[in-house]
Amino acid sequence: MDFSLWIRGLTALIQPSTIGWLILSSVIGYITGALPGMGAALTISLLIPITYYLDPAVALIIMGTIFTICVYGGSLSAILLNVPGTAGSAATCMDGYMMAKNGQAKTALGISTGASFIGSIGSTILLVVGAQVLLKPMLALGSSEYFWITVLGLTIIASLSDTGMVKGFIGGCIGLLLSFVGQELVTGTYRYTFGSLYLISGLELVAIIIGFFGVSEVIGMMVGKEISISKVNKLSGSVWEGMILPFKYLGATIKSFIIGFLVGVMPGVGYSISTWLAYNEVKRTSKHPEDFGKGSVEGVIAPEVSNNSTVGGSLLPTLLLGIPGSDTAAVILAGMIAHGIMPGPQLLSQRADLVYTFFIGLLVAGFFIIIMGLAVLPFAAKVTVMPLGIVAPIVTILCFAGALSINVSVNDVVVVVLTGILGYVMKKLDYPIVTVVLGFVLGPIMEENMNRAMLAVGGSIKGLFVSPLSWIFIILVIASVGQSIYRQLKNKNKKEALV
Amino acid sequence: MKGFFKKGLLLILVGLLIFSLSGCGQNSGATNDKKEENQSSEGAVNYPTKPITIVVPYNPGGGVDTSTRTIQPFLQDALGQPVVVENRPGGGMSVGYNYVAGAKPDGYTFMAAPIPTMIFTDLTLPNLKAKFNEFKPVASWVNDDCSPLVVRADSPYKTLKDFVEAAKSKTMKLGLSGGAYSTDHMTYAMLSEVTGVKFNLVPYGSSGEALAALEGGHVDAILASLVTAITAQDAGQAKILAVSKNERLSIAPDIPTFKEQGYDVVIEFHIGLFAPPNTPDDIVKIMADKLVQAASSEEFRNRVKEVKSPAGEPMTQEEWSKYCQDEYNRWKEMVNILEKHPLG
Repeated sequence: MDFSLWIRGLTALIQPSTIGWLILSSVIGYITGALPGMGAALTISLLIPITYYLDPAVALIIMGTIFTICVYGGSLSAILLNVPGTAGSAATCMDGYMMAKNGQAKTALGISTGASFIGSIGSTILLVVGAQVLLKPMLALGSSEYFWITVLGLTIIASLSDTGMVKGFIGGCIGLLLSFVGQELVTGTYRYTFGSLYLISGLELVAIIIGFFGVSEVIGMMVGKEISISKVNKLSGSVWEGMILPFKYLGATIKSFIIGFLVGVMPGVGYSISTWLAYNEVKRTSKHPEDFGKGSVEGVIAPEVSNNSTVGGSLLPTLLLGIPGSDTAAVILAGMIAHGIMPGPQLLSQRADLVYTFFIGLLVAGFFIIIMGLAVLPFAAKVTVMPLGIVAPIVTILCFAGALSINVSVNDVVVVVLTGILGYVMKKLDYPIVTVVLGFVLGPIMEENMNRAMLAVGGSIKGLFVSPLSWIFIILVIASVGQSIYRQLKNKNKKEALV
Repeated sequence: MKGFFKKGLLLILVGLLIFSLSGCGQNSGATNDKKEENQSSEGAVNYPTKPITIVVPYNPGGGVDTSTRTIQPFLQDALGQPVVVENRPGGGMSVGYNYVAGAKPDGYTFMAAPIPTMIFTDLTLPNLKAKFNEFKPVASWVNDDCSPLVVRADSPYKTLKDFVEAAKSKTMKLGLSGGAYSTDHMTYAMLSEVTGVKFNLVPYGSSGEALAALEGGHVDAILASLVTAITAQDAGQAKILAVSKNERLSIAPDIPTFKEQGYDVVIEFHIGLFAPPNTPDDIVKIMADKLVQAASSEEFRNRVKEVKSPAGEPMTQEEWSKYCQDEYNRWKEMVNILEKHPLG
């Protein structure tokens, strides 16, 4: 590592205008992240034309900062209102919102701040110090490996189903069914579109998430007897206290970090999956798996560390190969090319000054997470003790406006309302609705990769088994299913013994 | 129960508010002052007198969106009126297509659309509000784009001929950057038609994913977007064996075409403006002239060189209209080869 490059990068950064842009893009990223519907990809692509008039280094800093802070901002609405701002915060709802319900909103927000900080700073450092060695092995993963990884993801359903595995599977199947809507990639067949042009491109992930998490919660607020989100109607804990917790649960933090980073490097999958994989792994190895879903500290740490480390991971193939690791990375790639910055292995040697300014910008953005957190969160947490008569309409506005911001289409609002009602009914009947979302996220990736693996060998099921690497994941799937069955049997025996 | 009604009433009010707001948003592209309509009836047209909306039928950040936002400031200068880019994605490009088909034909709403994708949309989708021929082609500003056949830099195949000959004796895996009825599907179908070679096709969701599969050794060659391919070639990771243009590209003149290597595979991508059906011809003419003026300006030429956009020379209204008609006639005959060469 060349220190003169760091110093040059730092001097490029310490210009009043650059710092100004850094602050501005942090604020923009935080707001658009917290608002459901507006993701980092949309925000950055709308800002790219403005960056034409700026120095390429500044443009890179703006894009990197928004990417980092947006993902963090998404957790604010996830924890306080059960409406994930981005797909990367959906898993945070599980325990973050439960903590808010228990009156620990400040602590939960603090955990998310500390965890996002670690995820973002850690992944940036890993980017700099030779994560390049990861590139080749990650590219060796092909369609059949992706297929088995998503199957492994689906086995999480078992561990998310506290109210019984059958109900969890039914939820997962509903999610898979919803994911089938639209034009199929290989044959071009229209599935469940009923002649509607809107349904050709399928249902929007953001709309599904807003509906199942946000709207179903609003209905619950209207019907229920609670007077505020916090059941105890007061706030305990503090942001600062929460920020330290990820350091206390270091095992959970490190595991989530590694999973998030590795999934980020893989093209085509992003934080909508890594957060769940991390959540599952931390729960599986936790000393208190029974607390998960009821407001577990580790349950907030896992998705919050992994979503930010996925951000860093997805930049690796983007910068060094020109292969975007996620949809937002794809937009950043377009922005880089628009500034004449050509990604590739030569980037580090030829445009080292730019790359190091970018890295330093990402590090500074990591510290902005803390600043934004301390400035905003203590006030934001008060939402959870406000009367529901005020909060419920605000959440409704957020949900509907979020749905509209996807495509400016009223159809998305209809989807949000319908899935919200379905989600509420399922919750009342004790179905874990999170399995629906998981099935919806994993369905298309699983199906497309199954098709690819089979087509590559001329349309035979053998394609799923020929690669030796895929057997690693097949064994992991078997082990995961086996463990769940074993646990269920053990629990059953325990209950019977108690009777 | 009283609390429920109180909260419920608030919710309904808010819901109504949002629906009415969104209703305004939906119509804003089509609303128009009555006064200005009358002005065009006699003598010289007074156009444009207010901001113009260009509908992009795709998400922000994609190729058509980026190209439209690149020309936008220059077009704005030429017209002397603000130009607003509005994304209306969904259903391939059919949501934006239908929106513009139903927009008021007053010269204040246009669509930025790619050819031949817009023609494929017309030929393969039901329920469209207008036929392709009913739209009025204005002019085009991206004319140097096409489909490249890409292999790894260390691939044993140095020329297209090597590749095709090798594919005759062993089944090759060809990665596509899109699914059924995409332009990549068409390029493959044409290649398969002229060479008689069958490939094992592996469709990916985007050029980035296809490139990753190529680099990882999961496919032997890919069809990708031109910018992705040229970037990868410049970085020393990939080699472009052929491009599907009629003549060589002006941004990369050293890359041979399929045609000059003896394989008649020609599929070019253009991006141009289309006016809603029944837009007055004099208004379309003014817009076309201003677009060509903007796309010919020195500043725009420099800009596209910087961002490596495959813009090329603009097409005038006459050229663009004729090109669109010729392409429509060609693809109407050709589209059935897609059925002959399905992906799976």
